[in-house]
Parts: sequence; structure tokens; C-alpha cells
Amino acid sequence: MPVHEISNLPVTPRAPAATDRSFASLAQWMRRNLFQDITSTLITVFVGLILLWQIPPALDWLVFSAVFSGEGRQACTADAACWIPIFEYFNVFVYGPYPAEQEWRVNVAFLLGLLAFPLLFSRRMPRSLVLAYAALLPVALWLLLKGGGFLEVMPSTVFGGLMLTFFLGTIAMCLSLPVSVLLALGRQSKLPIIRWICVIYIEFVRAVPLLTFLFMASLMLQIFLPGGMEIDRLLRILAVMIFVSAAYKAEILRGAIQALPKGQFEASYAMGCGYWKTIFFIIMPQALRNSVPALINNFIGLFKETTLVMIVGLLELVGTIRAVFQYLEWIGLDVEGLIVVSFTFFVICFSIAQYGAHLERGIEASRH
Amino acid sequence: MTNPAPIISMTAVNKWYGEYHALRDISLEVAPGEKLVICGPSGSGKSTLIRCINNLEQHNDGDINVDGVLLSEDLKDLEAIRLTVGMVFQQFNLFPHMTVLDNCTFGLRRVLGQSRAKAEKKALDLLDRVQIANQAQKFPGQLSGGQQQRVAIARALTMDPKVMLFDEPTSALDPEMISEVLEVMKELANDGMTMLCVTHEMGFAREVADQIIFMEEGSVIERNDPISFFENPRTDRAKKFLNQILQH
Ligand SMILES: Nc1ncnc2c1ncn2[C@@H]1O[C@H](COP(=O)(O)OP(=O)(O)OP(=O)(O)O)[C@@H](O)[C@H]1O
Ligand SMILES: [Mg+2]
Repeated sequence: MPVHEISNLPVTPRAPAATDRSFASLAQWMRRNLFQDITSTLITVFVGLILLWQIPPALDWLVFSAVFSGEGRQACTADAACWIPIFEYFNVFVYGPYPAEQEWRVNVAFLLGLLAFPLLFSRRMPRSLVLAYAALLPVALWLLLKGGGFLEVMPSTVFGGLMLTFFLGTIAMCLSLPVSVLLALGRQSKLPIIRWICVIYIEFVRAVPLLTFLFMASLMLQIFLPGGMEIDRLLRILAVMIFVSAAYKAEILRGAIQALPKGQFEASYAMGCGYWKTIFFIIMPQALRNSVPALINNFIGLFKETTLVMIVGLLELVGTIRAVFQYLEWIGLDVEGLIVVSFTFFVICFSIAQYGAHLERGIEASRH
Repeated sequence: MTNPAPIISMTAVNKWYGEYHALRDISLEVAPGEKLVICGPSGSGKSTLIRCINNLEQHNDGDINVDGVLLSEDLKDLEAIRLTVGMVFQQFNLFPHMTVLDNCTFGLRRVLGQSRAKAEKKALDLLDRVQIANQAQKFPGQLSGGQQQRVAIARALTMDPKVMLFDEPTSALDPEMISEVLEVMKELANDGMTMLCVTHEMGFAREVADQIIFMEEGSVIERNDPISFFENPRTDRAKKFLNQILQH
């Protein structure tokens, strides 16, 4: 049939098949991904059976038979979760021993932390604003939670629970990155003294367990300091987290800097640009982009390592929850507590990971 | 008529890479507006020579003077020289994380401290001059090699250099893109720019160069005008080199 005749054909109305089509494509997807051949079909069926067998009882334990309210331990049942203590001590988990009338300060701090996410995820936001926020956030958190100025100064002993986890994790993440940049640059410095200090520092810190430093910071440092002088305990622990984590990040960044072509430095120098501006505008942006996956890994690790501070007596989220289940009344309910901990950490770490993925998508868009 | 003061003068410059003597007693003067083409076999020190002028390589011995400034340890002098001299590289060396436009405003904004608006106006003018203004918002990775090299030339020109150094600007390009870059360089030459150009493009050398410099093993062994150099080179080594290169 000649082409010009086609347009004269009567148009047969097509069935409005939106649902049909999506069903068809679902079937197609399943065939391609789940039932492609005998092996994959067997695996699909096997996994499906395990899920069918395990999920209902798990949901039953977690939700349907679980006890959510009641008076004390007697209300709990033996063979389902008991969430009563979680609700009862919710405030302790979140705020630790922070005085109740000051809890608004913690709330504002959480809000500032949350606000970072829309800032970080927006593609329109000027980079200088995001950098400024990341630089000021630690200061703001410290002033807000620890006090100073017109806010009442809080002793370190009132820091605990999720608030302490958040406080340590956020400040350490924000400040360890700039420190690591300096270490990475110092390790490649032309000046031998600077280079050697950085090499020895990085190698030493990497070779000694974090716990050792935490113990040293919380116990031994006082011995060395001249009498009467005291550095706040939280500050010491924070410093350990920042400086230890920076050593690992420095090595990630060093690798990324070395992977850049020398021509990037040369092109910038040739235009009369100095070392620091070249580092800031040309080298670091590229090195940071290239090390996003490794850095995000490190950030997540750092956030989870905040749990180690319970060993030196600071009760962050995990420590607080464990402490609650030491009460005679709630003894033996640790599993519920650990589920809450896992869930909380998952939400936070997964968000960090999503930010990494977001960054990588942006970088991918600017390639080729 | 008296010769104008040279814009670049090198006296008895020596350069070692460890034990290796890469530049031997180089003395060279370039007058304002002069176009020099530097050629010679691989490893003869051509790149080293021009990279010493803006101190991407440090010479060990001798004086390098650019537009009245003696190259020294002093950072002020170094910056002054690097602002006088623009450079174009074989591998383009555009900044891949910036758009073409940002590449071209980088020096104006971050080195000279100009406002974004002013810098962008100038950058767009220059991009227009190398006929690539319509690609200003793209990233370097999205352009062809020839386009990237033209951006690199525009980027160097944003700083209003008095001298342009080219280190084999077309060697990394596919043949069909070489001419678009050479065209831009010819225009630049016509506008009176002082140019030092390492290249194997002998057609370009013949057409544009005022003088040709032939290097071997770190020494300048011949400096001649293009007609004499191509028709009747003084040294046997240059003769042999020309035979090899013109066969292709
Ligand atoms: N960074 C360096 N360290 C040690 N030796 C070097 C270095 N750069 C160059 N050389 C040596 O110095 C000599 C001159 O190098 P140069 O790059 O100037 O040569 P060229 O004439 O530009 O060669 P080509 O045409 O291959 O680019 C070569 O023998 C090279 O091996
Ligand atoms: Mg070379």
C-alpha cells in the first residue's frame, strides 16, 4: 500500500489500556528478572517461600501481637515484642539527662541538622552557602547545646541519648573533612618538615585503635596537663573523633589528588593563580568529587563509631538504651531496644548514603 | 632603525633533571610581536624550554627576563610573568568540573578579582572570537578535541597576555580538527600577538613564523627565517629532521 493511502485509513479506536499495559510490563519485568531460566525460577521460588514463611511471624512479633501500652512489665507478653519501655523512656532516649526545661535547645539543634538536608540536596543552592552552613553548623551546635553567651552553660554530664550521638556525629563529620584536606596537602608538601609531620601523624593514628585514643582522652590527658587546667571532656572526645577520622579521609583525598593530571595544576599556575587558590578552586573540587563513594563510606563509619564513646562512660543512644534495660523491671527486653537503635541508625546512615548517590548523579551529569 | 627591547630574553639558561642536562646554555631573544616556531626531535628539550619561561619548570642557571621582569624566587615577579604569558597545552588541560564559560572566567575572577558579570562579558567575547560561544554552558568533556583546544586558547587570552606559549597544541587532535585550531592561531598571529610555538605543523611554521628555532639535545642549534630553514637548512641535523617530518 502506498504511503499516502495510510493516512486515509479509518482509525481504529484503541482500548484505553493503561492498567493492562502496566500489568503487561510488570509481567514482562518478572519474566526477565525473576523467571528467566530454570535456575533463576528455582531461586525465586525458594526465596519467596522463605519470605512467606518468615515475614508473617516476624510482623506478628513486631506489630500485631506486640504490646504498645500498659502498666509495667506485667503488661508484656512472653512471645511478642513489648514496646512499653521504649515509649516510657522515649524522652531519655532522645534527650538523655538534658534538663527538661532546656530541651528546646536540643530540638533547635535537631532542626538545624535536618535543615542541612534540603540545603545539601538542592542543586540551585550556591556552593558557598552550603560550605558556610557546614562550617557554621558545628559552632552553632556547640553554642546551642553546650551553652555560652546568653544560654546557660551545660556540663558534659547532661549529654546523652540520640542527642549525644547526633552532636558527636555531626560535629565530627563537619570538622574532620577540612582537617583531612590539610593533612592530605601536608603529606604532599614540598617542605620536608611539614611532610614528615603529616606522614608520621597519619601512620600513627591509623595504626592505633580508636578505643585507645578515647581512653587516653578521657583518662590520661588530665595527668599531663598542668594542674588546675581542664579541657572539657566532650571536647576531648570530639577532638579524638575528628582527628582520627581525618587521618583516614586524608588518605582517601591524597589518592584522589594524585590521580588528577598534573596539567590541572599547571593550567591554573600558568594563569597566575597561586597554590591555595588552585587547591581551593581546581584541585579540591575534583578530588572531592572523585572520592565521593569512599568519603561517604567514611562518614557512615564515623557516625556509627560514635557508639564507642559509651566505653568511656558517655551514654549516647546505644548506651542509654542498654542502660534502661538494666533496670530490673525491663531486664531481658534488649532486643526491642536494639531494634529501635538499628532503625534509628539505619535512617540516618541511609540518608547519608542517599546524599552520596545524589552527589554522584550530579557529577555524572557533568561528564561527557 | 633600532630594534625594540626584547619581550623575552634568556641568557645562558641551563636546566638539569637530576643528572640529565635538559637545556644547555640557551640564549634567546624574542621581540614584541615576533612569532617563533620551535621544532626538533622528541626529547630535545622544546617543552622544557618554553615551560621554563613561565616557571612551570625551574631553570637551574642563567637569567630569564620577561617584559622587563627577571624571573626569580620572588612570588610577585613570578605572578607578573605568568600574567604576561599565556599558555596552551597539548592535552588542553581545561578544568573538567567547570563549564566552558567558567573555565574562561576563572582567571579573571579568581586571579584578577573581577566581578562575574564583567568576566563573563569578556569571556563570551573571546569565545565568540574562537567561534565557540554557543557552547559556553557545556562542560569540556562534552566537546570535541578541537573545540576544547579553542576554548583553552580563549581561556589563556582572557588574561590579556602579551606572549602566548603553545606546546604542541595540535598533537593530541584528530587530523580533521587540526586546521580549526591552526586557523585560530593564525588569526592570533595576524593580530600581532607574540607567539612561541612548539609544533610539528611545518605548513603553519612556513606561513606564520618569523623565525624558526631548531633544537637538539637541549641546545638551540639553528635559528633561521622559515624560507631559508625549509629551503636550505644550515645544519645537517635539521636537514635530516626536515626530511623525516616532510615525508608524511
Ligand atoms: N620531569 C622530568 N624528569 C626527568 N626528565 C625529564 C622530565 N621532563 C622531561 N625530561 C627529559 O628531558 C628531556 C627533554 O624533554 P622535553 O619534554 O622538553 O622534550 P620535547 O622536546 O618537548 O619532546 P617531545 O617532542 O617528545 O615533547 C627528555 O629527554 C625528557 O626525558
Ligand atoms: Mg614536548
